[in-house]
Amino acid sequence: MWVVGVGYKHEHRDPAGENAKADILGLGPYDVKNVKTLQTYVIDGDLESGDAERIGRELLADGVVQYFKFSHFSEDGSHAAFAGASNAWIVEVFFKPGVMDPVGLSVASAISVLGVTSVKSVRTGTTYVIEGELSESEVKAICEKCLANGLIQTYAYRRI
Amino acid sequence: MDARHIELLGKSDGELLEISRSFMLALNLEEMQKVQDYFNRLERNPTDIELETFAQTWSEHCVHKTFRGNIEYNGQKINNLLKSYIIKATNDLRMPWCVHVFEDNAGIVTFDEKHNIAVKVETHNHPSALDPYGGAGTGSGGVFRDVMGVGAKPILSTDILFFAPPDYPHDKLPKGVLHPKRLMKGVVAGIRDYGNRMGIPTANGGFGFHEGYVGNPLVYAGCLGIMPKEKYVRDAKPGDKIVLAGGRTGRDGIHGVTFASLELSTDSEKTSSGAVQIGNAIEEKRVLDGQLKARDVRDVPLYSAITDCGGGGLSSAIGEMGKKTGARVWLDKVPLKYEGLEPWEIWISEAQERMLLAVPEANVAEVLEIFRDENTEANVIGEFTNDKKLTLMFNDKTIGELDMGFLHDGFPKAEKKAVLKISEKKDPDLADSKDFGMDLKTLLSSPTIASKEWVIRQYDHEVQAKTVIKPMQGLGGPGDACVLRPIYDDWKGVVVSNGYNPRFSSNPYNMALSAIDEAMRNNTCCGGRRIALLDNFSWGNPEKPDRLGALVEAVKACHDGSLAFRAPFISGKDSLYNEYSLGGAKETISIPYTLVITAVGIIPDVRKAVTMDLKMAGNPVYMAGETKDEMDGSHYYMIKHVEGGAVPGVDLAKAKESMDSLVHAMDMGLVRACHDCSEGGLAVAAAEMCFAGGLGMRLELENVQQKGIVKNYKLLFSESNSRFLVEVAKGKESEFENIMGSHASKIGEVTERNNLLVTGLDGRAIIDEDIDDLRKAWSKTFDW
Repeated sequence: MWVVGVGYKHEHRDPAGENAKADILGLGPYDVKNVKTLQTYVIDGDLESGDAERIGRELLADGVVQYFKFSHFSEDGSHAAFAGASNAWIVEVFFKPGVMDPVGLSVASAISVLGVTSVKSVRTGTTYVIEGELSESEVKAICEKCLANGLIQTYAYRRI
Repeated sequence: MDARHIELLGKSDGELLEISRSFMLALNLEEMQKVQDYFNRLERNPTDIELETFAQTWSEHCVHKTFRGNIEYNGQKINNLLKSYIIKATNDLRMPWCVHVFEDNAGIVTFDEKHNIAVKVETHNHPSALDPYGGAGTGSGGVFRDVMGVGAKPILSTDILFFAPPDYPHDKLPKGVLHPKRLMKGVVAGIRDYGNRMGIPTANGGFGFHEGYVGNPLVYAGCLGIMPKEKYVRDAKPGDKIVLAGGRTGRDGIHGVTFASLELSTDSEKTSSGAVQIGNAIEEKRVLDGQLKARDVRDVPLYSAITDCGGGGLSSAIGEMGKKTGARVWLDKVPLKYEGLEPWEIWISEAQERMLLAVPEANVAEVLEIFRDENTEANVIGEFTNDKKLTLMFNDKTIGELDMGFLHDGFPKAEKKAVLKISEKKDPDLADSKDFGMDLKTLLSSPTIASKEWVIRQYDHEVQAKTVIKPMQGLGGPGDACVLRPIYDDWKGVVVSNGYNPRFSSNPYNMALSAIDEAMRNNTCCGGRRIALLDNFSWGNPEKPDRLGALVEAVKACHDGSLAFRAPFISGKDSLYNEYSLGGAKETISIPYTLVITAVGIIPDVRKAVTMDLKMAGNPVYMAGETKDEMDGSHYYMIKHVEGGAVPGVDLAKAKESMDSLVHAMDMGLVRACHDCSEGGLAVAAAEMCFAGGLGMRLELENVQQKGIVKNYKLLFSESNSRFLVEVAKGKESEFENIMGSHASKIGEVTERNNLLVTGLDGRAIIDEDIDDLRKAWSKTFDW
């Protein structure tokens, strides 16, 4: 399993991140300095790293304004270091099993169009990198009230 | 996989109800007894799939028990509200251009000699409350399929949304409820992604905000399609194969339909995840392309009937299509997303993006090939028979066999009681404000009136290149209606508008009439005529007599309005049980009674369509219609935190005449801009025309046609119906006055100065505001 993260280059705006920040501040006076987002794709299948590189470059990231990084998927979520931040909270939001993920389906079929046939499935999610002084209970509240809908999504958070 | 038999014979009433509850059938005692009787006659117990079939087919969503039932209302017996009023008006009007009304997935009217247009509006309230993104997306996908289900190609999406105010305090939010701002963002994103990805322009819509929607937002999704006249078929014949095209079937939306018959509670979130789905617009686009090819590859379609799989899934679609013939279904032939579904789950799954076709045997191979070419699946899953029975099979074993006649006509007519409660409150009769300019800006910033540019710019309203009059007009002002030109080499256009006024709920008859008037006048503003209407009710629990009484009144208004405007209803839908209970409290809260009227007109030449932005300094400004002392439910009283007075009514004869005259004046080229006076009244309409045109306006309230008003604030902000502000070309005054007769008077003119100047009844200036300040007030609320 591989995971690919796609974010905005630092000189470009990250509208989803700005939007999330505004929503969080709308909840209450949280100490949130900055929020960055990474569109995150978990790719289930045997890939050569060259394939992963190609998928990121040709399919998932818009090279003009975005960067991408990829790594083997690990349960401890070390790939979140993609965000290049430190002293931040990392929140990952994914659909629950059984919930239809149409973007994931489209990406999977597009990967096979690229000629890479070893991919079984793709799940999509969002990684939020939240910089600021927040307690764990505050992060939890932010996840539940604004970043994830518990009915269809799961979330995990961690401090880096 | 096999079907289970459920012990039903010999069960007591209490046990019947327990069965209904534990299987989530949402059938009441009388209905359960009918089912029990039926199986008594057959001398056997039903299987689970048979019981589920009754639950789906007899659900509120599918048969509209309330609208078709018996109602005792203030001593009057009404048998079938829909037929007695709404359909009756359509039948009485007998318009030759109504092709198929109230009988298929969408209402169909003629467009030109070669084409018909099909229109449908649906609600998707409960799923959107739980998952706004997925709920609104599948709402769009569902209504697109309704239009596809008559064989038309969708060319317009229209969405009308109701939420609690976006600044609703977080600490007041009931448990288990999403914040309105979050709901709104999610719903807009859902509509955006589905429409944009399918390439269907979302060029019309509306918003309403009211605290009463906090636990129960409303999402209305509408669609308009176009089709060649001769391509409409709806005649499945015995021997035709049942072809299921599109997405695979999963456990999605199991009990979505019966769920809609239950009220939301704080537990809904936990018990109803099956009702929530995320749509796949790309899949639906593939199905659409496939079905259009199957329709057009020969002179006549390759299929003999087509419908969508919506609420109730296969059970409703096949049950309906095979009503007159009979059908045999091989459920093991339905392609699944994953293993492990019970046959009854396959049968009622509401998995999205599926269309059902009846295909004569000789065409089956070609149809399957067409869908395969579009990269989507199509499979034969059964056939139509001539035994008038619904036979359900799994691996060659019969697991259900029901009589089509009983299934469709056997349900007991609901008996309901209704009373009317209108509590009249005295008008607070405020003193005239010292700062009307500030009042006007507060109104412009209030969520219902404020700019929705944030939303509009997310929707692709240009795709397909048919949109002539767009949501934002001039330098940026709110358009009244959308005008499309569906055929590229013809100037003829379709005009789509809507009307709704939940703030007038305290008088449901006038509320409904106001909604019709508003939809009609929005259409008129752009030059629409020959108007067809759609009704969409979102209401509280109809088991409660006061809610039902209000519904009866609203339906009566639909009848009266339709006849007077000579605008037939062609389709409609209702979503009842929009109530919300808090933390297990007994008392449930109803949403404000919300009737959305969609008006679909035509215009012979789109080049003559009129927009609302002011065009040229020096042109005279007329006002059509009379302003009355009708302030209840007005936005002015809302911002002043008072209530009372009369809810606006409609003088139907005058309204019809005035609108017809105005359209005539537009055809004569006399009208340069036109805007209706609705939320916020005359003052808001004038402000919007100014900043949309980048020009000023001078208005004199003393020249406004009015009845019994002595206060400036009532002239400025009354929301009386049937009123328009009209910019007339200079030099054409007498021609315009001749056409309009007593319906319009000159009240001012367009000015070069960058301000809106209004003089009051005593001739003194009461508003003098820079139009840039007005625009800023209007733009800031949704500057998200």
